[in-house]
Amino acid sequence: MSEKSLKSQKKKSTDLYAAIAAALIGLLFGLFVLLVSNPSKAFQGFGALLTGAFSEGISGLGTILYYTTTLALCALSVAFASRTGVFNIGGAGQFILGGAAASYVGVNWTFLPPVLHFLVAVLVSLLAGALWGALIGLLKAFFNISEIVIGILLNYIGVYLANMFVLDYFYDVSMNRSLPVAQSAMVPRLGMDKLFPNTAADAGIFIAVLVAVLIWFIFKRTTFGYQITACGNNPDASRYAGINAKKNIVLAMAISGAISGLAGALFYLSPAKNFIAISDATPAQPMTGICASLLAMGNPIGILFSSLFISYITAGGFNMQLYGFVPEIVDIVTAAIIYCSAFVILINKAIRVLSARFQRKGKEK
Amino acid sequence: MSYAVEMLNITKRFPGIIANNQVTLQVRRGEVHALLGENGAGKSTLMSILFGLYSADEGTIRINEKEVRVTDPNEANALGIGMVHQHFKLIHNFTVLENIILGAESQKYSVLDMKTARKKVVALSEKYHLDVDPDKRITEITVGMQQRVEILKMLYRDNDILIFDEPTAVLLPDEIDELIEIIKNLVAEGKTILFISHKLDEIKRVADRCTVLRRGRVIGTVEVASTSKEEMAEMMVGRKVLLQVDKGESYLGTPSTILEVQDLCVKKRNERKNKVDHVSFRVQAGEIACIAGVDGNGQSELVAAIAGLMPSTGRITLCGEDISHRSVRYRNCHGLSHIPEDRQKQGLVMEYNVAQNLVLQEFQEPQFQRHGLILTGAVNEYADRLIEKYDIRSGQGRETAAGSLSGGNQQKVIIARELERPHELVIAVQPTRGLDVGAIEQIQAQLVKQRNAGKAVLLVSLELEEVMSLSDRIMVLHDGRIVADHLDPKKITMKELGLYMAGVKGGATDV
Repeated sequence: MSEKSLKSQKKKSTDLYAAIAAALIGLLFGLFVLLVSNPSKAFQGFGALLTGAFSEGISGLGTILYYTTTLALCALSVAFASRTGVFNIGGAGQFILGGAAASYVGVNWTFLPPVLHFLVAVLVSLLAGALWGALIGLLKAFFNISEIVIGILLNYIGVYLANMFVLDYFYDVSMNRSLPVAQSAMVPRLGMDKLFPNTAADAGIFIAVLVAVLIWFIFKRTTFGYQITACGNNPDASRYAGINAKKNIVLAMAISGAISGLAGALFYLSPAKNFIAISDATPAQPMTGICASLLAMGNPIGILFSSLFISYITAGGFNMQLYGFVPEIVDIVTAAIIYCSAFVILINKAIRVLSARFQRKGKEK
Repeated sequence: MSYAVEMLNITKRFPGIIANNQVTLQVRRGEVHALLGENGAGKSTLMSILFGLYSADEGTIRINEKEVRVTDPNEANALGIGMVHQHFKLIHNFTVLENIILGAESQKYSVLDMKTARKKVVALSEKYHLDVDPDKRITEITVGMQQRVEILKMLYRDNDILIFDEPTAVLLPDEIDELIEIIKNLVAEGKTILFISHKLDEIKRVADRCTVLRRGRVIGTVEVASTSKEEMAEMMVGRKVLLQVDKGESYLGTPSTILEVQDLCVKKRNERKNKVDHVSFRVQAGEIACIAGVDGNGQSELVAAIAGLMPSTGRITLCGEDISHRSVRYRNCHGLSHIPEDRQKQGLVMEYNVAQNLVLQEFQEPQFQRHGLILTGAVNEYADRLIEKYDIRSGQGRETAAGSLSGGNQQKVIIARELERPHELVIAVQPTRGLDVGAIEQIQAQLVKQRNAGKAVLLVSLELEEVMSLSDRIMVLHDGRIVADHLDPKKITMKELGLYMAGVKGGATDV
């Protein structure tokens, strides 16, 4: 028994080291980009990137938490689907549709009392996201179509559908965006604005943490989690054991979609945002969410921290503009750091090989 | 006496287990040296160390009297060591020739020089009577031929120490004869052979000396000619082994039909011909009915249809209830236990631990879950009980991942699971494939016990000896049809059975 716990502890710590190493490599790569683009200001810019998030003191944390909410939920969505062996790259479509559905309720259903209004809006976003996710699951399970192809295509369909929906039902012509969400449907602040004045912080982060814990519990303890993981690991054995793999894929994708939809709702219902701009671009958070999920190796609790890191870098990035870096370069640097994080699996393997070799050497001596 | 391979005091540890403990193996030049041991005894680990796939924690390796360090297979190759793995390492859409030269391509002005390569391959093939057509694709040739390609790969690289890892596991009886002939030719040409096996018959036929491993330790090295099979089996398992099943008379009180299959047809999509063609038969309580046949004559499809894994037409009745249109889960819960053909692909979730695998069907039953929450305590207790009862050996008990168990222990997990849950019918598909004598004995005894307890057992096997020794009644499946229904294993000879299997003899005759 002790040996077992030792081994699993070792595995967990390797995962952690790999994640930290991946983040560091990302940061070094970011520094390299800065050195190429403007050598004289590179180190100042890099300093701003690293500390910029707290340039205005503790309230900076509010902004970071605000980013983390959306990012963590998007990452959790990816992690949930990947347990069934499905790569949910369709998060963007689920995200925007969830957001649009929630915004519609937020703008129009003002007859609802304050807290209930918000809850109904969230519920509708869950449904919208779940439907869009289940669609991928259905096509994958019953027609064996690649979830990646469907996911990417459905992202665009989702974005244009959301645009159409906004234009038809709650459009603000003067601003080319949706009408603002009613106060009663906004994400409650729960005192976060007092704690972090002048920031976008709201209670969304608590919901994200709650969802992470819930997912961790589902996989740790429930028969549902057991079935999903079995289907993901070995579909043939699951079928043999009488587990309905198709049903589980659709269900897992629906839940994954619902989580993305929730991310969209919390993003567009936040007091700091409260509208949807008409745009042809797919939202970026779900894609960054894939990286956050990879960096945490799909561990729901780890995702909270990887999202925190990425949000920290994103927040710090804005401050680089003080040193004359144009926003495009800032974007390149932050993106480079984030995407280098995806090397985590490679690094994980390298650490294992190296440590095995090191141990062997130690014994020989 | 000069040694081609010496592995001295090799120790290799894995988490929770010592795979090789001070193992010493000395192979003389020009001999066939067998390495005998149960699954998990450490044979494969030892060979992987020799071939450079693992490195030993302690000990030294000497090749041709020189101490060497082998850190990867390329180095092993340079030392003249070649290996035919149990699962062939061939690229299926390449030709034989392309597969042979892969990784050792001859070049002329940095252009692939196929002509020289072909000449060498053809010459080698002729010299050793391998009869390999270099231009056939791997997909077009039989498994026996594929093995010869692997042998040619070693010869092409001028290896003279050849390791065969359970080479007969995949072969038909006459292919085994041919392989043994080939091995004798190789030795005559001065090659040294290391032959890993747990089949005593073959070792007796082919090997000069034999080193026996048990639980990671060397039990001894013996001259094969002067050692009996029983003695070797005892060295390997550590106790007396019954090489023949002693099963007693079949228990048939009042005959009651457990499984009845009527007019069953299975057709694969895009295929015109039925894989299973109007098959009807019954299995009674208290008998072991065996379906014999050459691999690929519809056995897999028949079993899949009965288990509900493949759509079929016709009627399947289990314990008097028509289950033709029921789900897999329903069948599992209503008396069907199924030991599948491929334990790794179908039988287990390799990433799950032993405990999780032991409740693969039953996790939804009330004793293991409440309100959708798995009762970890109950699962663990159940797992510990089965591990004890079925002697499942692993590094970390119930927490061991199924993927890190040895083949025999993986099969024990499946057998424990299938025989412990409530059932009336056991379908066992090649339950002893690739296992060693000790494990085979245990598993066959379990099946006999099932029969004697009044359960119905449907055994699907390709091993004629198993069919003859275990079954009460033999059915032969040829080309999707039952060509013989009520053969009595006591009256029929193996040769006759072979004729049925080949489709020479036929018709629904009773003997």
